[in-house]
Amino acid sequence: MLEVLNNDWKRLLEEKMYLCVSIALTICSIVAAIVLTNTMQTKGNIAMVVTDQSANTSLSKKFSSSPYFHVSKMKKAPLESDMVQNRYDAIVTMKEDGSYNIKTIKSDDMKKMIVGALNNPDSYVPSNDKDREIGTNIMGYMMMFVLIQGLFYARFFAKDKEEHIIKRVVTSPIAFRKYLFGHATFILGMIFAPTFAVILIAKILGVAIGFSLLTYALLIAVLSILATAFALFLNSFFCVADTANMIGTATITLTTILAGSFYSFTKKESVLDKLVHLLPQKDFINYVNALEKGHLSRNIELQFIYVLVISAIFFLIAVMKTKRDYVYR
Amino acid sequence: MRNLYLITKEDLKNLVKNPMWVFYGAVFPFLFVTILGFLGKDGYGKEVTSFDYYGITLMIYSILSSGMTSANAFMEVTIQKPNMRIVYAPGSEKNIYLSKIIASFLFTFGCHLIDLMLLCGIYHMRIHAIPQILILFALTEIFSVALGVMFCCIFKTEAMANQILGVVINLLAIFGGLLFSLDGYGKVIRTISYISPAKWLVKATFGLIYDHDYSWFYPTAIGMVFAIIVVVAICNKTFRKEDCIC
Repeated sequence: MLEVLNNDWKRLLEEKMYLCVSIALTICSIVAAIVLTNTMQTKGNIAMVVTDQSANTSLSKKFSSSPYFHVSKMKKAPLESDMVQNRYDAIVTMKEDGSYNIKTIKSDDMKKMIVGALNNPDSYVPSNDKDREIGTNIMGYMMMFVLIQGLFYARFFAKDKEEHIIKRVVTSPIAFRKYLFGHATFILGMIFAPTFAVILIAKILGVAIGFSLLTYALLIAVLSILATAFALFLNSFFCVADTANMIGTATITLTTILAGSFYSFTKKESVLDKLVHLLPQKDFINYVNALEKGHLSRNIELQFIYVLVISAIFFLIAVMKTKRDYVYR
Repeated sequence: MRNLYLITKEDLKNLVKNPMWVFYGAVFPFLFVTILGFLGKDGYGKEVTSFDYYGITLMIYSILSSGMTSANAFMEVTIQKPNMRIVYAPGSEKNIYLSKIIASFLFTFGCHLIDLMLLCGIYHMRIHAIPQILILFALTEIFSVALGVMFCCIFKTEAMANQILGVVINLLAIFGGLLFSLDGYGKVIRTISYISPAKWLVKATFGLIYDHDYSWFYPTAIGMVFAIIVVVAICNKTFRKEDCIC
């Protein structure tokens, strides 16, 4: 097992450019995750149209100083395409007599929230259930990149298959489990180390990251295990490295967005929503969210265990599949 | 010219025959829009549906991802030996990468056109100024396809080009606000997002559809043409026929 690990490392060092580029990209994506999280996100961007100075009442002044909304005052209503692009969530037009008119392309919830804020601007506090905190956001943003990295480093296994080196491994006395486990350890280490290093540096620089370092180490480790298991699982089904790569990137992108890693979809109690819970990413992000907010329940702990179980299943399938393909009976 | 035509024809055949690429080019974008559209339905009202939004943004995302297809078409294992033959054959070796760019462009653009038609037909996606949008999308398609080939020329191996391309495309998409909107993040991020060509595209396209506004169309189109020239020039500079010998 250690030989495989050592060998992978030497092969990686042979391609220094590849190593540098992948580590640089990892750092970029995680820095992006931290930067995006640390800029404050408001409940909504609102364009307040005040055509007439006399309409500039105390209500509009109070509303625009609300901490929950980012209100930009303007004389002319913004373009509709700005609304479609989510530049503004709603346009509030103030009239001279103090009444107002709300236009939004978003759902009624958005409208209700703005009406609530306009009716009593002083005491308005929006519901915070759906909001995530810093740690959850960072984990959510970097999830996709961490998972894709698994495919990055699984390529030595893929190359073994592509160039038929694996057939020689079969004839050697090493057990298949150990051979794959060696690859797995290598991938795991290569994902974990740079990712955690960036978080560590962020912590030292004093950036707010939410969790403690130990928790981060644990969470990133679990995510890396999932990434590793999935990469090996996928590669065990294809003999060409690029096919596995392309399918893997596509699946990871689609499922991670579906799992709501960037923002959670609001649809409730539909069949699709229940199906989404099958995705390990969804369970993982749920667990992280609950952990940060401090309401862990038995159900959520089960979801966390599910992530580990599914990783184990991926790994086992990878072992069995390669065994069936290459060991003669 | 005739050589280029013949090689392109063969490359195109090679692309169409592979079921995985047909899936990635045609089925995957449609699936992506459908699933996200259904999930995001509740967040939108009646005037503009979630399909109107995701249809455009995710199609742009798919168009940017078509670099993966061209990288595959260029340096896939089965295509390496035919490439080597072309190196030894009389004629210009530039045909090797030019034909890949043209063939993958024709293939992916065809796939995406079918997707767009399906989206308009099934989900009644709102669209306007169709010729201009198609010009914009076609230019972007050429750009991303050439980008895929460029990465292959620089890194010499397809696996590496593909993996790096995957991350680069995702970063461009996130900073362009394709996967989720960045406009809630304040002014700094909003300014940063203009670095990504995806942002220009989204802005130009939505401007054309909802405001009949052409002011972003011309700069974006000219910028894309410029980017294509740069990318092809880099391909020309970094492509060495020795790399095709296996």
